[in-house]
Amino acid sequence: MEESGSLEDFSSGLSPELADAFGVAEINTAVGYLKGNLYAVLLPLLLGLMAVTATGTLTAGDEEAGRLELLLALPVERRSVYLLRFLVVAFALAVVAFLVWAAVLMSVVSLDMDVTAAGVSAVSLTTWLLAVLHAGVAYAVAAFGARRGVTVGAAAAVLVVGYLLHAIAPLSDALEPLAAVSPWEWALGSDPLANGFPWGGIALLAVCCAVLAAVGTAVVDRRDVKTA
Amino acid sequence: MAAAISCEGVTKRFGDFTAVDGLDLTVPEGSVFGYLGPNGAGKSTTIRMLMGLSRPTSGRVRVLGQDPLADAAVRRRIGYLPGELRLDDRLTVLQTLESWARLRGTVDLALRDELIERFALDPKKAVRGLSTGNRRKVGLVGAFMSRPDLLVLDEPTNGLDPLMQQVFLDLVAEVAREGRTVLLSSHILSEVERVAGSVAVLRAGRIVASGETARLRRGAAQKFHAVFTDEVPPLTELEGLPGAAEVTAEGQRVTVAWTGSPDALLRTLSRYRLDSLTAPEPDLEDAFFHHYRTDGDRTDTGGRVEAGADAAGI
Repeated sequence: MEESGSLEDFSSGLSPELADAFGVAEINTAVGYLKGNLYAVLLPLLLGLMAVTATGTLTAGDEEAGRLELLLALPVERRSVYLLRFLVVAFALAVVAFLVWAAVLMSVVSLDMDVTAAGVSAVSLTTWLLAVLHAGVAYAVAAFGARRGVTVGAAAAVLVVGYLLHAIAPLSDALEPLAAVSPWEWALGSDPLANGFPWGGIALLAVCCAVLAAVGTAVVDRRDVKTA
Repeated sequence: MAAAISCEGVTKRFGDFTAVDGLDLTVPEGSVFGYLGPNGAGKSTTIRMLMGLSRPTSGRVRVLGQDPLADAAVRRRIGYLPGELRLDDRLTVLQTLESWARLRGTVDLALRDELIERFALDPKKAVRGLSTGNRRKVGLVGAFMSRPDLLVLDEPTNGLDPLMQQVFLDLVAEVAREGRTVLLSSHILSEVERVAGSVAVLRAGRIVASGETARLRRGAAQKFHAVFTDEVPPLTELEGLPGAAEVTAEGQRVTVAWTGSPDALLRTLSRYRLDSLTAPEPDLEDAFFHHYRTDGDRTDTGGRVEAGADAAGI
């Protein structure tokens, strides 16, 4: 481990393409450091997994545990109950994204790092939208009647495959066009920490979130509530 | 009188399995109606369709004149106790009831507190530590507390001790006196026969008997177990009696399935020296399904296995 004394050594030992894939290409700069350590993989993955498990638990999980049986027999609309739970997850993710945003911004100011507030805001927003999108995938899958395990598994698979397309596809000329279908690419492909708000990607993410929420809400009324 | 519940040709399939098969059911307003059948007969499946939790494969369901799937508001007038009651373990009894009350909007707080007291519940207790019976009581308070026009109660007395069963039966009687409607499901006839004016008996998704409780009870078979000290009466003699549905013997022990007044049977038995005579409370299997087993057999084996397993569990 002696050779790994500096971050620069670590990144220079990798081919430029691999360093890009791991998000550590510019790890010796402030932007590169934040990207490599936080925004390239860790935060989107953690927020995404939180989104997926929380949504799966509040929808399919509660339903198959029988906890929705009585609730949905009260004078409430089934679709309202489901949609509200999705919105609660989106809000909780926003709180986490906001806390990370505030913490990073504070460190940036206090450590006088060469990172713009707009960049931190942009990457926080896209990371949050990326997580909400995967909450939306879980929501739609659960709304069709999948069990909790299937719901979480399917949405987590979308999350991981999306990451792989975003990280690995650009390494090969043949696969590179595939990166464009990855939500990770929409959120992080333009390097928002350095380059600011990627409005096209933000719009695409927001539209996908809305479509997934709408589809889930529309189909949940058309099926049977599962029994415990 | 208008129908509180009406099902017309309601069928519910799960894949290849038909849980409810062409059900026609009418529960008049203001009646207490017993919905009987062994576990797996399709009672809960029917009830979940009444509550809009499940969609019939075909047929028409109306509850208080409304389609329960299209109109969530109709559930404001229905109190529901599910057969599988799952409560949120993180709440106390009172918090649970308050969360339901918030979603209902129409709760009589005085009635709620009276019900808590009658069922001897501690409202401050956490749901987590409650026994099955106590959870059931929370569910019952929740169903009754909004004075609904219709109560749909799936196996309400499951897990209640006899004292609490009495409290429950008193409540049902009070509701009935106020002209409200109660649907009670059970797999035990004696649980509902005291309060239900009429019953329907479901088996393998079909109604096999229905009508006034008293009339059905008279027609239901009752088993008598007689153990003789020495001479056993000839089985042909017992079989020849007008009420005997089935006679079986095993050594000194004779079992007679009997319908109607036991008078003639007792006269015959008393001519022999009896060691013991027992007549256990008939379960549904004995009471209603007897004929379906001996006669030409139109029921499938699957249904019978379920019924048998249920009888063993009683």
